[in-house]
Amino acid sequence: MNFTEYNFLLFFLIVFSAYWLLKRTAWQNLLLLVAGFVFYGWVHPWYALLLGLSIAVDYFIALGIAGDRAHSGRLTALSVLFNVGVLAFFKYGNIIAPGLADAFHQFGWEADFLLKQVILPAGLSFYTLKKLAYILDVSRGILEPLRDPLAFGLFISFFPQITAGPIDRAQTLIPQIQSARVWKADHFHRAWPLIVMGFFKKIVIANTLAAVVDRVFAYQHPTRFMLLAAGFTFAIQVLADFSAYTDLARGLARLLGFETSKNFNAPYLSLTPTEFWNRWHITLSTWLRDYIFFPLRRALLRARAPGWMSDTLPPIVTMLLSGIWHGAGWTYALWGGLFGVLIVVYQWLGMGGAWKPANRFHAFIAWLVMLFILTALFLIFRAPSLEWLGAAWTTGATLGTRNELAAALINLSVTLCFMLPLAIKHLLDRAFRPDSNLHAIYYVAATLVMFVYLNAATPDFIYFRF
Amino acid sequence: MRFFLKYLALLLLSLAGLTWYIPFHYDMEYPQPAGPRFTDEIRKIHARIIEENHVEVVLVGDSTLDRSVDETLFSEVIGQRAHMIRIPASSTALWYLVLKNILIGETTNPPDTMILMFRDTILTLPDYHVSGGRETEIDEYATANEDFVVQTAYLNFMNPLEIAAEQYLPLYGARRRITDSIESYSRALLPGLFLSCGVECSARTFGDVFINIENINPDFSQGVLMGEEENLYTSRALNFDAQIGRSFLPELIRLARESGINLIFVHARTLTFPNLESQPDGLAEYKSKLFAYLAQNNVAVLDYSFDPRLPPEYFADPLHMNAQGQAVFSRILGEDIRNLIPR
Repeated sequence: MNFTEYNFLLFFLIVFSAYWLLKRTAWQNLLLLVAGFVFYGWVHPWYALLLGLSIAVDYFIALGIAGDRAHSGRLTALSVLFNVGVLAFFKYGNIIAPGLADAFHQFGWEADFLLKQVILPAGLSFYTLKKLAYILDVSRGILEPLRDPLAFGLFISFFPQITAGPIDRAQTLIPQIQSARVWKADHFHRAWPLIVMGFFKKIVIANTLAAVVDRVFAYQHPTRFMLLAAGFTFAIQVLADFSAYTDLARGLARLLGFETSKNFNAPYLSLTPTEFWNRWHITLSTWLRDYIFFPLRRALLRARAPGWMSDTLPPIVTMLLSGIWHGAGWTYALWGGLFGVLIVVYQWLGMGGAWKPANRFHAFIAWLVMLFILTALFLIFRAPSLEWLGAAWTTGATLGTRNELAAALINLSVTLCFMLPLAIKHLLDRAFRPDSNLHAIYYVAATLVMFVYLNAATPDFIYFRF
Repeated sequence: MRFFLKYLALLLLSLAGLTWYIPFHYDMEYPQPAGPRFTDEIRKIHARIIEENHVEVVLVGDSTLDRSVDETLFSEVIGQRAHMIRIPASSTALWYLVLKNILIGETTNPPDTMILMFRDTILTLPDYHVSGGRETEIDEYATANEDFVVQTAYLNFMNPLEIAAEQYLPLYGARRRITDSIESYSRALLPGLFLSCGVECSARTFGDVFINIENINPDFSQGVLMGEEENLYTSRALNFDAQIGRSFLPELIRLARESGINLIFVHARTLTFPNLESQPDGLAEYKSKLFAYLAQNNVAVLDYSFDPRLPPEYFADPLHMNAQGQAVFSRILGEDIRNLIPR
């Protein structure tokens, strides 16, 4: 089910009404758990089955770890293998399977069953990271495992978050699940602006820009200028799309009395790659930092690895894994790997995490360079394949015919017009109180434009694919 | 609370203002009926050809018909004058309108036979290929009074909120016109500034570059094509019993029978499921129910789904034949049809 579908509206109205009619927290939690499974299994009921199985495995492993600290390492490894294995099977199975089937064939074993297409259940990547963080924290002894299976099940299957995050940690969500929740008008006041912005960004901005971007990637011989324009448009599209989902998820969670994490903080105003990852998909970045980057760096330091290695390897490996997490394909791996390399290069240039520009001119130049880099990286991310991009870049003209130049300008033109509301909102948030008259006018305008762009069928959110 | 009330009051005020202004600006009725509005103008070229050439057999279908049958060769084989009405990406709503408004409504001597080429579940999927730009195409075959088409192809698939919004919220009802003008102005901003290419020039350029089929990557167009085809194999589409009553099929059969037109259905061969083994069980069950229904209604059907005389080499892509396939199939179809049509 998609947040922008009519079915979801009905589903949420039923859940919301029943939820606040129930007074006891345990009943509320049970309702949310059932709602999570219904929401998740709506398209394919077996998704819900997989979710249930996956929750049960980690629930018992976590209890096992806490009950037998002597063997906690083995159980942790088992959980990591299970979670990564399931994720790899669904995410990369279609790529690995033909090779495996070929290898079996060499030995005279026919394994055609491997060639069946495997469909990636939406949100699997997200709840896998949620469970891994939980298991690793229990294993490190910084989190007590939950004895209550209902609370653990709800933590993983919480429907506002299950398909595309935010990837909230147990420390954030579980205390809220366990505490009593009563209806307060404040829940609504904090939720509705997020919901208006979520719908507006998805329906008006992201969907319009998607149509423009898709045209360029469907074009037989795109020019270099067209490609760069499309990379820039896609950067705005993916921000609008994903931050829309996060706003909706946070807004819906607030209506149910939950406070969930912010995922974006004006990422395209970043001056360095490190700053970008501190502002972009924040819950994923902090996950990668806490469970990949820091442990790897600590391990290298403990092993007395050369300084250059402990400085370069952790960012490159972390970002490479981030790329691979996003999808099975060389475009994603290169996108992530290049981010890692960029972080290292910026560190070498003395522009690491703590860098501050000397003046506004330096800040402007750093921002411009970063924006160009992000455009190029999002072009790689969106390209159908590296071969396609390589061929298009090397054989394509720079500006092309007058018509092609005009077409690239049309692309940029639409992007500038449709990113304007995002820029205005950012300026309003910086200059005025969130309940100012100008904010009210902005939300009214956003709602009106949304009515105009509303359509019964809305394309899925981009991050459902990852 | 004050902030939300402020927002709500402003929103209601703006909506009230726009509800007054938009019908006036766009010359719309209020409340306006939900669903698309069609004009009374009908494309008359086919009726003229049928009348002038005394056409006896009319073939109707989408691009699969266009690419698999050669009109001249087919006419030669059947020994009668045939005419093809091939409308790319068309479906039952449009085929129904062709029968009602062109073959019956616009000709004094309707053709003896109408051959309708379809594939898989398309005959009982009334909402397939009816939205977006296709409304304009449907309008070319529709009169201003097509309540049955609007209900069957559109309203049955709209939720109550959407129907109410179309009727009572002109901002929503006029959304296509408003988004068209927002998008045309937003496209022209930079081309206008740097290349003196205004709104009309930008629209034309956008079409010439990005919508021209010659410029579209074949992999992409094939991906889009097959993506669209997936709609034919959803659980809803495969549920013949649930779909038949809400489809155009019973009405197509009734209209043809009442006007004395011999209706023949032809199941096209495609490579989506190239052989019997690859066909999903659900589709096999659907087809057997469809063929039983047609037999029960005394409607002839020719099924070429897995015809071994049409190997994959005859196809340019999973749905469309190449020139060699077209030549072979025109002959095969002609010979089979010759036995089914009055002489």
